[in-house]
Formats: sequence, structure tokens, C-alpha cells
Amino acid sequence: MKDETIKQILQENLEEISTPNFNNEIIDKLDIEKSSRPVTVFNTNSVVIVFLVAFLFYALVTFGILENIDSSTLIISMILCFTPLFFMVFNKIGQLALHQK
Amino acid sequence: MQEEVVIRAKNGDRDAINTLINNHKNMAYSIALKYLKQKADAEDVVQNSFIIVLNAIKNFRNESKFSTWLYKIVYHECLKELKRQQRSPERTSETMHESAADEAVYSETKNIEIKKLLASLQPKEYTVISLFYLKQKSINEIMKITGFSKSNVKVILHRARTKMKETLTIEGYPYER
Repeated sequence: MKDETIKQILQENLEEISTPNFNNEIIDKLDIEKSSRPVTVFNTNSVVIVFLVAFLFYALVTFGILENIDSSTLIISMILCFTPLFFMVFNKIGQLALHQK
Repeated sequence: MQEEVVIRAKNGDRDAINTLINNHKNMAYSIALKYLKQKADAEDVVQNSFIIVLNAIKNFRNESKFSTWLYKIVYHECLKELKRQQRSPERTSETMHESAADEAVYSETKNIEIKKLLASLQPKEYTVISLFYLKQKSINEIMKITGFSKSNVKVILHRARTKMKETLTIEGYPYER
């Protein structure tokens, strides 16, 4: 047996706290903000990234083929760019709704 | 793993806070009991230390390990409580009787040789050797926790090891480094 013996003896003879609600008593006394982690409906970052990737893909394909950009292409591009904004608005509405409950 | 739990605890995750408390409470309590002798006092000090640390966890910048920070608080809270007790030494006889009863139960449930061995260690020896072996704290980390100098930590560790080695040899444990 080496230093492991010391470790084993110390480990086996650690005193145990007998109070059953020891952890809860500590947690109850903490100033934890109940809403410290805001609940989100959508993950904003991933929504923005997905739409940016989709827009880039669409732009590469469409602008690469067409010389003159027509109005419908422009509208689709703008929709792809602005859709994440709607998700962010939904997120805020969702957060407010959950907060009021 | 530990860092992840600390990050979750910073965000107010109760499970993470529970995990942190469970990981360290027995060790902290053992150290506090060694200094304060009374179970109730030791529990109060440990509870208070956790409250101090967890309330300030948002400002914790991972400059040292969470456990090093916690044990530093526990150690200093023990010293503070000892000083407070020395200033008001008139502990009621009732409390002392309760303590004696606790001690009797404690004696029955422990292996007597091991109890003698651990009782032979001074509080600071127990603190240093426990942190070194059970929490794998380096000499530098123990210095941060206790405020002792490097040579002092080494001397205390050596003395504690020697005491344990001698007792273990007498009790028939084959000990070799």
C-alpha cells in the first residue's frame, strides 16, 4: 500500500452532513434571479445563420444565371433577408407571454 | 466538466448548484468539524460559506478553481468562528453536554484506531493533507486556500504524512512511499 492508503482512509472517514435539507436551505437563501435564463421560442442565432446561408445560396444560383434581375427575384431575396426579423419579433412576443404567466 | 457546472450555476441552474454543493459539502464539513468540534457550528459555517460563494459566483472569473475559492472561504470562516467563540467563551453547559453526546455516538460508529489516527492530526494538518490527497490540490493551491507559506505547507504536509505513516505502521497497515 502506498499513499493510496492515506487517501483511502481520509476518503472513508469524511464526515457527512446529517441535515436532510442542507442543500435546499442553502439554495433558498441564495439571491437567484428566477428569470436569469430567458426562455426563447426560437434560437435567434441559428435562425439568422440559416437564412443567411439560404440567401447566399439563392443569390449565387440566381444572380449567376440571370443577367438582369427581375422584380420577383428581388422580392424573394428581400424576404429571405427580412424573415429572421419576424422570428426575432415572435421570440420577443413569446418571451413576454411566458413572463406574464 | 467542473467548469461547465460552474457556468450553469452562474446562470442560476439549481441542478448545477446542487451538484456543486454535493461535490464539496462533506469535505468542507470535515474540515470545519476538525476546527470547531461542534457539528452544529461546523454545519453553519459550511452553509454560510456556500451562501457567500454562490451569491458571488457571477463575479467568479475562473482565475482559480471553484473548489480552491470555496475551501479558502470555508477555512477563513472557520477561523472567524473560532475567534468569535474565543471572544465569547461562555458556551452553555447544555451545548457542551450535547457535544459530549454527539462525540459518544461518533466514537461508537467509527473504527477506533482510525479515529485515534485522525484525532491525532491538528486541524491545519488535517486540512492540508485532505486537500492534498482528496481534492488533489497542489502546494500552490493549498497556499492560496490557507495563506500559509510554501515551506510551511510542505512542513505541515510532511508532519501529517509522518503521523499517519507511524500510526498506520503500528496498526499493521503496510505503508511505503
